[in-house]
Amino acid sequence: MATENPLPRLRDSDRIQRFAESLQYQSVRAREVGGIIVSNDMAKVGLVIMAVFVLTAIFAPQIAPHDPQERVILDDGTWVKSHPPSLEYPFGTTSTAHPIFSQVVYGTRVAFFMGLLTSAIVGGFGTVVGLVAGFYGGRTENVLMRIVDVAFGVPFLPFIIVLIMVAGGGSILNMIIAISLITWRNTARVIRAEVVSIKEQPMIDAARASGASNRRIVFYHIFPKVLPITLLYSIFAIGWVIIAEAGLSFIGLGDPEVISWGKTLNMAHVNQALSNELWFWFVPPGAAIVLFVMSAYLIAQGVEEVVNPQLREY
Amino acid sequence: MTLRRFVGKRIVGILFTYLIVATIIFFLFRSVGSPIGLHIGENVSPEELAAIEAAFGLNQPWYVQYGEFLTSLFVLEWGTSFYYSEATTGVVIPRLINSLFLTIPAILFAYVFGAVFGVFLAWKRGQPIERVGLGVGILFRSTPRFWVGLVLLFVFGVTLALFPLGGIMPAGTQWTNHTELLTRPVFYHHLVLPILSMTFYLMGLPLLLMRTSMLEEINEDYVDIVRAKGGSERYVMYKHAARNALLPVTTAFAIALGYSMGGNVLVETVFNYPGIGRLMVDSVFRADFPVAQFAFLTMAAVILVMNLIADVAYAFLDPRVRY
Repeated sequence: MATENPLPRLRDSDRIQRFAESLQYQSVRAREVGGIIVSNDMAKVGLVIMAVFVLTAIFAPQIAPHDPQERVILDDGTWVKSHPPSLEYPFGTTSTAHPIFSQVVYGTRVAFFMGLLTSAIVGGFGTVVGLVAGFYGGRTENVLMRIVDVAFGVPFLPFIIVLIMVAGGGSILNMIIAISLITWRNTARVIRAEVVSIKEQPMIDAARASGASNRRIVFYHIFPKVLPITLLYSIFAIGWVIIAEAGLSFIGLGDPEVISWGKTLNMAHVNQALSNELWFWFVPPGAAIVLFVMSAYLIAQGVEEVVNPQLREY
Repeated sequence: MTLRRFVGKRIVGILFTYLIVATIIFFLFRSVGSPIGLHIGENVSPEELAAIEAAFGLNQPWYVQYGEFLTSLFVLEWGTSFYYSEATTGVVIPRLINSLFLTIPAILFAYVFGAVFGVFLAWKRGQPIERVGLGVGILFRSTPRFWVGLVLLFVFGVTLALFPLGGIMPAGTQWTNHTELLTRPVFYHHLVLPILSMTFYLMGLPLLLMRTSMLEEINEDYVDIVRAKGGSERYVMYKHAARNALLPVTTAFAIALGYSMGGNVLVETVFNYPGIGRLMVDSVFRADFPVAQFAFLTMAAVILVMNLIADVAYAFLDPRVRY
């Protein structure tokens, strides 16, 4: 009978003590993982760049001298159009007299919003699917992995474009949902493979022999082990969403309300910045995208050393 | 399981996946509403409208349309474009070939150079040059292809005027088929910048993959044996370790070929290049369902076939793989 437990019932004080011990263990492990990540030089550089972006996002109103949505109009009523970079306008102005520096600075906030939300959705959903498929196996696994196969069978950008057209145009949320709807496939596949191999370890048999339930095994024994992989693929998702949003905005499917880096590139393209030689209109937002995504991927280098210890240098 | 049974099973799996992808696409497009309204003038009577809808089969209930759609998948008879008023296949296939002119060279360059540099980085493990190379690889992966295209177009097209500003041939040039294109030097002149903008991004993956794969390989015993026999370090790296490390890169190559078709949509937009990706995007904007669907499903089919080839190649090349 399922209710009959051969082990003596735990008292509440024991439970609390056990919980405290497990918390302590997890925090020691987290510090270990953090140490491995930070000891990687690439990750260090990535963290520094990312910190600069964090500060830029927080202090955007103090850093940007102008409002990104407002035209720069002088006291005598003239528009400051296509102004090359200067001290007053660090990245110059657009042909519609918008300050490019302010657009790039405020774009940082959009990038963080998209990056963090997408990585949370992709990491959460992909990990749950991977855990369930890998742990329960059988028909559940079969059905879930066929869905993953379908997600791998669609061309990434074209599918997102169709989804956004069907949703009636791009808003930041639409884009995040559409991109997450595809990118969870990577997390799910990798987590499943890892869970299948962890499941074979004697430690799981030991846990089961001492009476642990399925749920306890999944949450206390398997989940902490796959967490670095979740983290790794969530960081990758930040890169994917930033680049995909830039592309979608570039072809005119972006959020009309939001000035993202991709949107600035779109405006530059639409207003012939190229043939008018306004390089300062499309170089800074692109460089911001590259730096942002690159800092995420550099941090991922450190996380990869946690996931794949063979990469570590001693 | 024999190799043949494995391949058979994978083919069935892929057909099943394709059917589901096609179904999703069918219902996504149908949920937008009737596309006919976008393509006709305002002075059309309701009777005429109904006649046009009937001509395209849009007045049928959805399950009849769905049934016809499924049959069309297999007989490759994709109906008529709303926008071009000609057979869909005739619109899409030439665009697919145009795209392959960009994709295949870009991926070949990316994977050959990426793999060679990847070996080099693993060889120089722990030296400053490895850090630099690794950083460059990550930089490539982080750079949107279309933005590289914009910058290249600005520097080499606008400022230096060394290359044309876009298109597949100079405006107004007449050409009838792709073999004729291949004989015209000016055609290659148009390909240089778009191929280059794709290559940088695509090179990142094989570079990093080859390095990781090499790092696993050089710990193997046979590498020590080759060293003990007195092979030079270059010989050990490129003649022995690299051959085995190439396995994951080979499969990544096949997979990348499939996915890059969709990823090049934006590069085709920047260079105003008549490829399949841009055709699909334009058709979506024009609500030209038959063309958009066919273009999309062609890209999906390429992905699935390339994934299959990758799996089979993996099983074929590595005798240790159990399937």
